Amino acid sequence: MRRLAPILLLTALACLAAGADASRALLFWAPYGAGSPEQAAETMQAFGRYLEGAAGWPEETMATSYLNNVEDGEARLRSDAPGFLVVPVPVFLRYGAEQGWKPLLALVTDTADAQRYTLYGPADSTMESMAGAPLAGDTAYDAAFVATAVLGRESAALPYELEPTSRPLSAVRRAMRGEKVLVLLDEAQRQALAALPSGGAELTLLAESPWMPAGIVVASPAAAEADVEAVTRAMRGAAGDPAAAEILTTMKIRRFEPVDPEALASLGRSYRAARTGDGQPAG
Amino acid sequence: MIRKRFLDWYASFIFEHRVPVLLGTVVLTLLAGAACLRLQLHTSREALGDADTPATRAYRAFIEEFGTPNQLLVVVGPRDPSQPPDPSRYEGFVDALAARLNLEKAFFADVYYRLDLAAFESNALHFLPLEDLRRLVEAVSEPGSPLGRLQEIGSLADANRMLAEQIRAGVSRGEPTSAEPAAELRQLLPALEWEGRFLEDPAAAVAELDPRRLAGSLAAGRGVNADGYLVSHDAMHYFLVARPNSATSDLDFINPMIRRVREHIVDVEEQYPDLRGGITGLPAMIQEEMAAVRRDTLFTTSLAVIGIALLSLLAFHRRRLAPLVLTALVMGVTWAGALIAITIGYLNLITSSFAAILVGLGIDFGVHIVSQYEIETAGGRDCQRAIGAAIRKVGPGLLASTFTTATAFFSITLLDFPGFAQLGFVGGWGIVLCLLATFTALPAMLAIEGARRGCSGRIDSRLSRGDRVSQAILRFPRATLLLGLAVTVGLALEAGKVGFDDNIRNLLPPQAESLQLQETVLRDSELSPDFLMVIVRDPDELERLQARAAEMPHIARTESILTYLPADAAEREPLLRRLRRALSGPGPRHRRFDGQALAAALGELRDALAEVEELAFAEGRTELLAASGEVLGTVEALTARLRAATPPDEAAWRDGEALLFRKADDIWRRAKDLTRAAPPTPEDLPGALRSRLISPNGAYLLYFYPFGNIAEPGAVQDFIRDARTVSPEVTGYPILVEDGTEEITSGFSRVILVGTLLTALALLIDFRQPLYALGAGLCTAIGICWMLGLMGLSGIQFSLANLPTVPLVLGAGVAYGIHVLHRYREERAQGLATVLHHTGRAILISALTTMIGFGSMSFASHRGVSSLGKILLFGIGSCFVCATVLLPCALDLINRRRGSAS
Repeated sequence: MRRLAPILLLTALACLAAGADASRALLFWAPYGAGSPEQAAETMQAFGRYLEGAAGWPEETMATSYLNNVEDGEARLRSDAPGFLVVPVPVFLRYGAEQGWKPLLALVTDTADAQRYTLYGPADSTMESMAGAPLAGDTAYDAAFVATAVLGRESAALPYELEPTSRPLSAVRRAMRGEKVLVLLDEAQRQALAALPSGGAELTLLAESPWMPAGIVVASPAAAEADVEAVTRAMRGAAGDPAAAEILTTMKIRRFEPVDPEALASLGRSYRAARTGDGQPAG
Repeated sequence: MIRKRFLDWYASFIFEHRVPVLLGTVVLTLLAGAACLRLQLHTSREALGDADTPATRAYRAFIEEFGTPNQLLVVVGPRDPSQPPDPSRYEGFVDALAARLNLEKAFFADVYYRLDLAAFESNALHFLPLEDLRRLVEAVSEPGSPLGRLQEIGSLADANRMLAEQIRAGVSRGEPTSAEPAAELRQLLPALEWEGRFLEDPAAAVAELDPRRLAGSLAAGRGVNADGYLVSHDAMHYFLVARPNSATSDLDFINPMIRRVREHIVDVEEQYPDLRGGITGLPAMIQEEMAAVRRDTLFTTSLAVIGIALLSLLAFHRRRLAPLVLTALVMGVTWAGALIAITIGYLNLITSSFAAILVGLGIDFGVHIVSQYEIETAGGRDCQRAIGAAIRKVGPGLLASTFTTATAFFSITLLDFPGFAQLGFVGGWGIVLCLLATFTALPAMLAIEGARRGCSGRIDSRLSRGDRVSQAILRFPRATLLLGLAVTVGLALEAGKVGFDDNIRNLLPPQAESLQLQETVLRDSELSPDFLMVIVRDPDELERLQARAAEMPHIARTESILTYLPADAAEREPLLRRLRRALSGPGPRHRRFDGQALAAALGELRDALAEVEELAFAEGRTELLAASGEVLGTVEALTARLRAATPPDEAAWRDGEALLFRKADDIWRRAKDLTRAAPPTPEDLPGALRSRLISPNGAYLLYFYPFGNIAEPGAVQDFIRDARTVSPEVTGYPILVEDGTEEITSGFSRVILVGTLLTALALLIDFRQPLYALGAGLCTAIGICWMLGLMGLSGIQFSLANLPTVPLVLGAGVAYGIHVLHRYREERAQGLATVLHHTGRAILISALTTMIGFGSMSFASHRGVSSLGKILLFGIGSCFVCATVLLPCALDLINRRRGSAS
């Protein structure tokens, strides 16, 4: 019996390892997003449990996690690419083609039906007058995205210095004080400007992106076809399922809905063209 | 044949003795008028019914023991809801008003508006809800929590630093992105604002912290603020409850009482122009209802009188005959008044409208006689023969319709509810007396008038127009009947929507102040007027009943002396022990005031809040962003004040902080004392509370309160059933109303059944041919079906106020069919168009007068009176159309079939 114990232990560990199959892992990856992976762990776990139940999988077969910086996300893609990801559009454009991601669903948040990125500058500023200025914001981490989607340029080269930050309000305050700084805000932050005492009246709207999904649920090539179907079905049904209501509220997600592949493809084409033109790999 | 011979003889007799007959009726009217002067008006609701049920007996016992439960409620609210005044203004208002009302001993037994919280001071923790006490103990015992670290605080700087730490800890735990952080953050504002006041005037700010108020605020529950005032949940309204000296609903008591209260409110409003007082409660509702009824009565009666007078002038070819009809009617109504004075002696709230009803119905008799008289004289008959022919031709119909209408009224006397039973008696005899007056005085007056001014007439264009209308109606009888059938089916389907609305509040005008304030009270306070209660002699029984009530699904809460005497001492004791242990230390000890340390601590607080602000902005959480901005603004103002400090400021803050910690030490000691206090006894409770819940004889009162508004369908029945399950002796206004409604509605079903049977019998006796009786009956039944359908279409429901319409329409509506059928039997040979022409005009006039009389009521602001008017309008109008359109068409078809058969 004593000899059997290590074998049994190894068998159990092997089973657990099989249960945590990466192809069924789900990663929420939002560079410079709010909160930390530790703070989000409980909610991620609850969402994973919900998806397992809705997909009809055994418990603890879906590892769900949250990452909010670029480096950790890239490392995860390299080492142990998850089967499913929920990412904002800039991340999808940057890594989607390279990783072979297949868009499944669009995410609708509780603040707006869709996402739009807006570039603000100090009062009376213009794009030209701001040349050389820092461009701050929690989405200001990909020059090609800012250039093509927000500024409508054909080249990824920007005459501004990208300054990604998870503290966009500080950047907004600097611009409001008249400092030479550009601020890139998402739709929720744009709406939040109204809650500031001045309502953001000191800022000048310089550019805005077209409407796009707030996030995209994608499947990586590692995900099995049957799993893709099961996850898509589970996520689509979450909004109408009382069991998921509280989890979605905590995650500030209103629902998952079918993605518009044409709109994404159009964004992707100009994004890739801009990067190729600058001699960068198309990705 | 006998009836005709009698009517001929009667007409000759009246004509030959016209002067003595008229004199006789005038003398009789004068005597009746004198008798009417003795008639009294009883305006109390008690005069409507004297039911002796267990609930009414219990209700009377309650009044004996505790006085009336029908309290007057004064609601004090802001004149501009967007700018509610300071609580001290509200408190000043109710204090001033209470002082005035307390002097009105003729009207009020007591005035209750504030609970004396001093009585709770020494054992406040026993009054704190157990769950709140548990949370308090957890908060104080939790290591690291602000309350648990109170003893570490040695200065204001420490307190601010501790707040900053709490916020930072929340941010690192991700709390600002969950739960309700905006509201939690705003909870810091009162403390920070107090700190601002401290920096301005340290001594005054410290004086604000009254340990007695703190104890009181612990004891203050829902419905009472920290100063003990009765307030709404949102503190936008303050309440004052005045208990009248008398339980009567007599307007002679209620009207001056409410007038006096309104005068006081106006006076107090002059001192507090930013506030407004309003009155609700049962006495206020009764007063407003009666005022509305009086206003409406004046308005609708004027409308009816003008309308009927105009119609009479237009309808008769010889306008000078109209006053004769009205004079005969006045005689009849006066005789009826005399009969009431002699038999009952008074009018109640329901029978007070008897004159209007008799005018509406009684004028028909004169209209029929004069219409026929005009036709006869226009045909060349002299006065005597014209009067004789008129009486002979319309007499049988009038006698029969009077018989059916009186029968319908008399059937109402079967009700056990005296208010309505008296209406049946008054209406039944009244209609008979109106017929008698019209049959005696009107022919006599016509004879005298004819003798003086001649009675020759002519057929004017209106008569020939009537001919054309009659022919038009009969042109397409089959199509008309099919159309009638379709309308009947359609309206029968709509009739299914008509139900019974037992909510007596729906009778009041919707804009009535008492009704609107009642909604406020129901929605925003604990002072629901829809309570039930039971008197209990034994405290153990009280405990048992209260526990039983807590299990009932439709009883929201109970209130008795036990509500204020916690029965959970066993669970409370260990919690109090834990609290005692947590407070066992020496309490906060003042070190020394350090301006720089305070500035640094405020800086930490500012940074922590800025962190929250960043998070809120990044996530687009506008509510949290606004809250953090607000708190941050307050902290920045404190910092700015600190920066502008002068040496005298520093000295004042130093002294103030020392004073604050001495006060804190006092509060700490009092808090310790509270943890040691023994459980309270009834004697520890405030007097106002004791007298509400324990009678001078030592009886206990247990109140039951429903969930929300019991006007919802079925809610009151569920509530009463649950309360009766707890104790069969339960009583209260909702039960009295429900029992009364049940009694009246079931009684009315009986009345309608008996009335229908008696009417059918009367028709059989009158016509002596079942087919005719069936024709008149069917015509009325279709008319009533249309009436119900029109009610369904207009969204009108039956209610206590309009229930008598059914027997009324039955009685009055059947008359039209009777007249048509009587005339058809008389003049069948001349053709249906002639029949319709001769009788249709009189029926049209009488239907129009009745519809104007009753229809005027539909303009009333009182929703009960208005619905009564509309239903009568629908009913009389429908019966009229059935009798003058459908019935002649049916008769025409039958005639044609018989003609073709022969």
